[in-house]
Amino acid sequence: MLSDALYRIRAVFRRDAVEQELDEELSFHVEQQAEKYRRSGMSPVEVKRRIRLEFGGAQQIREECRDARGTRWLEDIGQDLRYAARTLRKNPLFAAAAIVTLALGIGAGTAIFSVTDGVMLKPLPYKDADRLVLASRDLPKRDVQDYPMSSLDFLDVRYGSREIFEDLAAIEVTPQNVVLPGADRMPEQVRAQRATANLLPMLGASVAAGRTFEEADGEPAESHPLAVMLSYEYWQRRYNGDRSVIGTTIPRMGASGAKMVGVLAPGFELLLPPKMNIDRAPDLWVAMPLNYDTGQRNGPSLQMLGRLRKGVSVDQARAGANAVAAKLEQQFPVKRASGFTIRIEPMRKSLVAEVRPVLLALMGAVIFLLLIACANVANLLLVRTSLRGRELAVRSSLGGSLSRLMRQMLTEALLLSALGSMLGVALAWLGIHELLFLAPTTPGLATLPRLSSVVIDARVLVFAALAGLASAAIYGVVPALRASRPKADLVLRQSRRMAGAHGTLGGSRMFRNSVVAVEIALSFVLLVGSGLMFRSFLALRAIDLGFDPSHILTFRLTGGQGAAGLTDLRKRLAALPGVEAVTSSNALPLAGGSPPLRWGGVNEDPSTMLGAADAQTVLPGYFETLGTRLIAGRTFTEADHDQAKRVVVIDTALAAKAFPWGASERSVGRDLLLGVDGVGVRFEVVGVVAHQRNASLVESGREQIYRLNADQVSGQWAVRTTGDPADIEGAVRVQIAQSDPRLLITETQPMRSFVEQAQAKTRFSLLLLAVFAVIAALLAGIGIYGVLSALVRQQTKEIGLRMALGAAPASVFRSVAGQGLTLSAAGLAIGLAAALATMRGIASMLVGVKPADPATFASMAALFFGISFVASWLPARRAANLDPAVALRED
Amino acid sequence: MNERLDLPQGTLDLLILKTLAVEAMHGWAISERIQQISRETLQVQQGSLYPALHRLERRGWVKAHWATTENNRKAKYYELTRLGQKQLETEMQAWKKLATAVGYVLDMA
Repeated sequence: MLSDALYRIRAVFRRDAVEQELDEELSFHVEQQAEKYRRSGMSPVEVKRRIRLEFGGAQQIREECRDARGTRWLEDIGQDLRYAARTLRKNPLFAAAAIVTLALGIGAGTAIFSVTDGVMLKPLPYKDADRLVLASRDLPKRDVQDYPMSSLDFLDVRYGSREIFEDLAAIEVTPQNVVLPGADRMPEQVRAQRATANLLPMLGASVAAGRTFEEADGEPAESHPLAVMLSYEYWQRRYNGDRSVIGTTIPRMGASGAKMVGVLAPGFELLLPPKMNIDRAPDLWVAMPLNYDTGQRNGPSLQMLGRLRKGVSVDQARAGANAVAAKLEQQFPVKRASGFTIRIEPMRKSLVAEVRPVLLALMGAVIFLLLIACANVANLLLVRTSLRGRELAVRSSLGGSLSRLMRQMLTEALLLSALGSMLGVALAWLGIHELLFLAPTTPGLATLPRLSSVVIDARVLVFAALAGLASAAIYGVVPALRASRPKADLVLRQSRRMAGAHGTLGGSRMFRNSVVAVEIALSFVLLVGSGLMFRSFLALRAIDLGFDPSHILTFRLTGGQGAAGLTDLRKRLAALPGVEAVTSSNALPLAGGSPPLRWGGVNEDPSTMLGAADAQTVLPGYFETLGTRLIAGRTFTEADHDQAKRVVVIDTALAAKAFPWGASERSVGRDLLLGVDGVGVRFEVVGVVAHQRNASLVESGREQIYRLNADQVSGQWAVRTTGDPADIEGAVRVQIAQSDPRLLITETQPMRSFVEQAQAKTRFSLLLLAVFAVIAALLAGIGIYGVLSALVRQQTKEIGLRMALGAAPASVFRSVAGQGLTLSAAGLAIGLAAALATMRGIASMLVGVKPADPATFASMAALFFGISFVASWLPARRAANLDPAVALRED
Repeated sequence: MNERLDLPQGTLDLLILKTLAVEAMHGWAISERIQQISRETLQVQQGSLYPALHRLERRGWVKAHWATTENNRKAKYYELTRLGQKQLETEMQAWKKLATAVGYVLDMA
């Protein structure tokens, strides 16, 4: 075995010496043989003839000796690579076209894969992440999903399902932001999140300093400080990473202060579905003091997270949790009325549920794009194979083995792929930066979860390499097969230009045409996809928001309270030049959602009221500021504060539901029962306004109820301006500081940007799909152009003959262009069927347009015919301009 | 014309090893010797001889060195290694066994 290895090593590294020895050895043999013949008395001529007969295939012997050395494959690869590099260098235009095409396909694929991998495929960064689940409460009889749990319900589920959950934790769905002195002693809004003490230990959150929460931190005790953990980032920002603060108390937080027990590792995030609107990386984590004495039965506030016991399936967990839920339903009439079920989903699955369709659609799009790129390169290679027909035929008749020729072609394909993949990864690297920049985000809450884990790592590189290999297999094999069985005699007898035309080499015209047709079909599917997304985007823009978002400045105030301060602030802001109206609300539309409020008819039992509406607590002037249309009755006035009777304004959706027997006008003056602090309170409806899009542009959302705010300064504020809202921001800040210097102003932005954020996901998908579709259409156009050019080149003689026989240039033009258009028609027919089949997959991303929208299909087909006409025009004109005298003399 | 036989697969290796067992030779001499001893029945083509020699060399059964012939030409001489000697014995035994067995069958039938 050692001799074997040494032999092979010498054969590879001293290849030239070994080859030369072989040559010498063989020629020695020939000479000996000749000598023998001479001595036997043959004439020199006869000797020569015999020798040539016996040793004609010297090249073949050499090849077989190389085989016998067992290193042939290695030598061949090296030789093939050198040869392939040489051919590519000789055809720089072809090489560049093929490599750039591949790089586009592989680059787009790699970029999208890196996002998909980071967001969807990688395991969550928690301990035993595969057993982590979200447990959400649904109210089936009210058709409400993800309704928060009350704290006592949570405790019942937690203690009632210990055999299912290794641990069950909960987090509050509304943030508990606090104003604390910052590092510079100025007040700073600190984002705080309350969760049960077992949440962070359950996730296995690592600790940078101090300790993590313990069960005792969640025990309620009189005059006991809260326990808090700091995010690493807040610890650095506020305390400069000072370890001595651990164990000390933040004085102005909670009734008895808050004790800092530890600091989380840098970058810790709680990854929850974006629609839950829970801060993923708050500055402070507060251990929620909770037991059966302090908990509440009403007051939905918690979202549950748990880790299943080993071997417990999601279905078993659902059954177990719902057994507890069923007991609670029996116990409490309000739960019986609304229904109470617990839905259990693996954490990772629910996390990406919102973005899954988008990512899958994009993944599909890039696979199409890659296939199109492969088709284009395959066609380029086929055309070139036909042009190289003679070279290949000569090589094969000189004794180059067929498999060797085939390998040569495959090596070329692999070299192209390797270069294309490298350039593609570079493109992807650039692309990911752009992608992350474009990705929809809302302040503090990225809509795409886990964007930070999107990087080009080993997995992504493996993907790029595999994509390159797969492409080489797709576009390299067919030309290689074609090249490996040249009918050498035929090719050699033919003129160069005829070789391809007759399909002996480089694929029949039929085959190349079908490649282009498939290409057209694929890019048509992409064009239709982006067309549908474009229609959706237009539909989103055209949606009636119910209010007018232009010329509104919004900001959030934290810290103030009291009717006097509120009145002062309102007066100051309203008096500013350029301000038309001022209002505030606990939640502005499209800015994060409003809490639900239960309502019912005046005769209903308050404990079983079924309705849930978005509740907003607003200042008078709210509807005037936002430009909400008044349908019936009146809006709030200052006098409403003083009236004995409580009044509300409702939207048209609630009017239709609560008073179904009449038009909106008939609702005015009637009473409604609202669930305030667990009891039913009568309110009189004084006005009906247009429905506002509160949560999303895609769905119309819950009904809406507006109540009056008497003394809350904290909340979201809106100022309607005559000019650009950004212009008065400075003046607004000055007035607020003068009114109450302790007020903290944050999240200053125009109302428009909330609307833009709501459109962001669709715009993001649209943009990417459109970019892919444009590249695809371009590639398909190039494909048509390439096929027709090759056709004209091959038929030069025939065309010349036709023209010499009297065919007009116009008819030649028509015949060539006609072939191009026929090709696109065939491609479009396939594309149409494919698009109809695949567009159903993106139905969930579409707004206001059907997956099989005829207008989109028709306009994209027209667009495509335009592209194919341009692509056919150039070769057709070249054919029409041929000089018959020259064309006929062509080789 | 002599009636010439094509060699069964693997037999050429055996013949080469046996030829080299006497003395070191160059390729042409090997083919001449086989032809001579087989009374012109077996003719070894250059196209099979050299690949076979290279294969045997790779397996370490023969080794090669360049030397000068009696006519003062440089030629590549092959000689049997100890490993090749052993291989030759195994293959000869196997061949004889096979030949006898085939002989039996042919005689009986």
